[in-house]
Amino acid sequence: MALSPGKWLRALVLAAPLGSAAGEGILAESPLQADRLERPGNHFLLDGSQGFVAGRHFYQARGAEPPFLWPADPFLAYAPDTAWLDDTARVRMRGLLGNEIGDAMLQELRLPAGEAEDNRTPCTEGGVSWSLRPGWRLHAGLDQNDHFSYSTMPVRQAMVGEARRDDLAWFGGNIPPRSLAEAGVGFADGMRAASLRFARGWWWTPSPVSGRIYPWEGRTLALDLGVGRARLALKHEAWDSPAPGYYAASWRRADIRLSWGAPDSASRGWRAEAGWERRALRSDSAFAGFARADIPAAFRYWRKDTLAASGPVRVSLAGSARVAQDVFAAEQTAAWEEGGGGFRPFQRFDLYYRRPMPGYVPAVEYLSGLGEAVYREAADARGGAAAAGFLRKGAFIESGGEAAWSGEWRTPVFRPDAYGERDGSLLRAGTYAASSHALWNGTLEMHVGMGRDPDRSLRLEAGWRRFYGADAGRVEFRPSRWWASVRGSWSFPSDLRAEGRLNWMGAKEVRGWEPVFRVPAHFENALGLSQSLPGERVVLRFSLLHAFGADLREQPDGNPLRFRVLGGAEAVF
Amino acid sequence: MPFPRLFRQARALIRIAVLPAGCLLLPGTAGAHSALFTAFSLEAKADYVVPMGNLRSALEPGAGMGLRLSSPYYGSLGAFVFLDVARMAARSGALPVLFGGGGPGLEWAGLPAWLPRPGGGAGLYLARIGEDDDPEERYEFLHGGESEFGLFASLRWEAPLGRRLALSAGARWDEILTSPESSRMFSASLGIGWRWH
Repeated sequence: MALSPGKWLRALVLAAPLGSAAGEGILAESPLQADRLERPGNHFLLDGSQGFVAGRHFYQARGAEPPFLWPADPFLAYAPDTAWLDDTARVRMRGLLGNEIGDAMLQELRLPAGEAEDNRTPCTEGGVSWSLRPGWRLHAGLDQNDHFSYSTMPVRQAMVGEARRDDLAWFGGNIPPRSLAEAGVGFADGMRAASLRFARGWWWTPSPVSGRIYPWEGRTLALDLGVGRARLALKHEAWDSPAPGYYAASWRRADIRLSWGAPDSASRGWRAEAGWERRALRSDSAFAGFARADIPAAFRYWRKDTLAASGPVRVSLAGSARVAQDVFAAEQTAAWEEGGGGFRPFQRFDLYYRRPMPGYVPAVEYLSGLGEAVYREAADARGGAAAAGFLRKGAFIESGGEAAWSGEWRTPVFRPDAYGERDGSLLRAGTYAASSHALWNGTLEMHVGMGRDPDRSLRLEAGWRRFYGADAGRVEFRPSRWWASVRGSWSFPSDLRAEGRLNWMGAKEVRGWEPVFRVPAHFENALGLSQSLPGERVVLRFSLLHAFGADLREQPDGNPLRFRVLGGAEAVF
Repeated sequence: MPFPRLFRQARALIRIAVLPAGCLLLPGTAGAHSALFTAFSLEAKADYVVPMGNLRSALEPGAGMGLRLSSPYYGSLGAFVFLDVARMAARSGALPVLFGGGGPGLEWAGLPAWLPRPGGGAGLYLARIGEDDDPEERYEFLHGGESEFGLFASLRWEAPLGRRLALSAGARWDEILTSPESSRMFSASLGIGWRWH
């Protein structure tokens, strides 16, 4: 069987698994929302397309991108979808329709002229990938998510003008946070692989420092080539402000990277990468512009072994070091787990270190009448975490627990200079810069699962978390100190699967906006249904997300979490 | 958050979980499958649609038509998808409004034949005004079309006419998920269907 382009490229780069709204579990609008359903205790919703994840092992989520919310590029970090490269069916189609329950029906016919509220927000996504011949695959898709965009509608409309509302999305006049059409072609043949991916459309990026939201229209082009163990990646981005009357801005990025490694297996390998990158941000009034040419470089390794001592012990080591966009970052993870028996203890250690390189340019926004909003990468930011736990598997009951402790130094903290408001949207000026104190984070988690059939299970989870340190009361996002949840899944003999979650979350806080924004303790809930049609070539899915309970805002200027309905279908032929 | 409150909430969640936990002891479903597409029935129907609740002030009742495709599902349960469309008059200005709905559902056919078959499911509903009917575009949202998800419950009688034909009469209540309150529609229908085995 021919290797799919995605598997080929993934084998080369060992890329992190990509989330998909069409995967297992309860259907959600995006990987972010799907992850929130799985781990609600860690998430803050800033808007529909971006969130902040705090308090897992470290205060900030780590990963290929810098750990802080601010993306690798000061304002833009969009990559065309690559999940379709993993498709193996001749044709795969998927579609998703969603609606945020928030407006009345036929209100224009029921209310006096001019009193009707704006029509609320749908979510429309879909795509088709088609293997023309063995090894070749074409893709076309649309990614448009209007959810969670209603509260910032006034300021977004003021930026682009009401007359242009219909111009800033592939369809509809809601000026959605994201409306992107994508196309791509992939090829894999033995030792060669290539993919060309293109995205064009509109999106809005909120600044986590100032709170201002920025519109962009433009395109991203990505080309990946692989021959043997070598890989060449090219990327070109061109995004411009579609609101020149408000401010003019443009973002250009071109990079080329060549990598070489030994990805002989998923259990052992290494990869080294070097390249050239040019980034240019220009703006007449919104940002401090810059034009930089860099030489990014990276190295990573991974190793997984199974030792046979008194029983099988799985040991894994992974680490990386990279210089990109004038920041040096290194990470190291070590973990081991005893396997084979019913009782499986495990331990894990994580370390990270970050430092801006000479020539590093802080991201600066100009806020008329308020001053500047600055994000300055912390020098010598570092952290270490240790976790230990166990998993006990029985015939009917599974239980587990984990205790983790971490310490971080130079965690970003916001120091405000001024607060303001524009068109109903909150703004702030100030500096995000490193704390001078250590931030400690302790978590305890436990779960009990029941079920002797994999299609029928019930799981109870609970967790507790505390932050300690002189600046523990100043870090911007303080997640719930405790949470508890029930989740269950049930497969009926008619190929219908039902899955539900009920979470009880402790109070959260968002600091850095005056006054401190408190999110009360609350329930969150989700119900998902999925029906496989005979032959399992078509799956229909339906979700009711946060169907019960009050709307919940998690950021002073964000959109509330509210009742949403999603329906989707996926077909392979 | 004090620990006693956390324990109280955990205890409540455990109580919620007790009944589903008992169900986990039931036999598994390996090897069982639905009977979908083992037979088909296509029904054409005429509808009379009555706005209810907050939609009464927006629309006059109107006539419509629809299609309903059904299939065996599992045991006495049948599955169906429907697609209905009605042209209704707006109470303000007598504008014609196109109101449509469609979606999948399940129907229970295990009752005696003289009793109606109860059913239910989820639908997607659409309302719009054509550009020719409102050239001044006074209704911005309705020109683009308002679409909302909803849930429905139905009752349906079916009278076979021979081996393949059947007459039906039904009623459906649509609970359209809107805010601050749900929007509701009631529809009554008469139909004729053709079965394939």
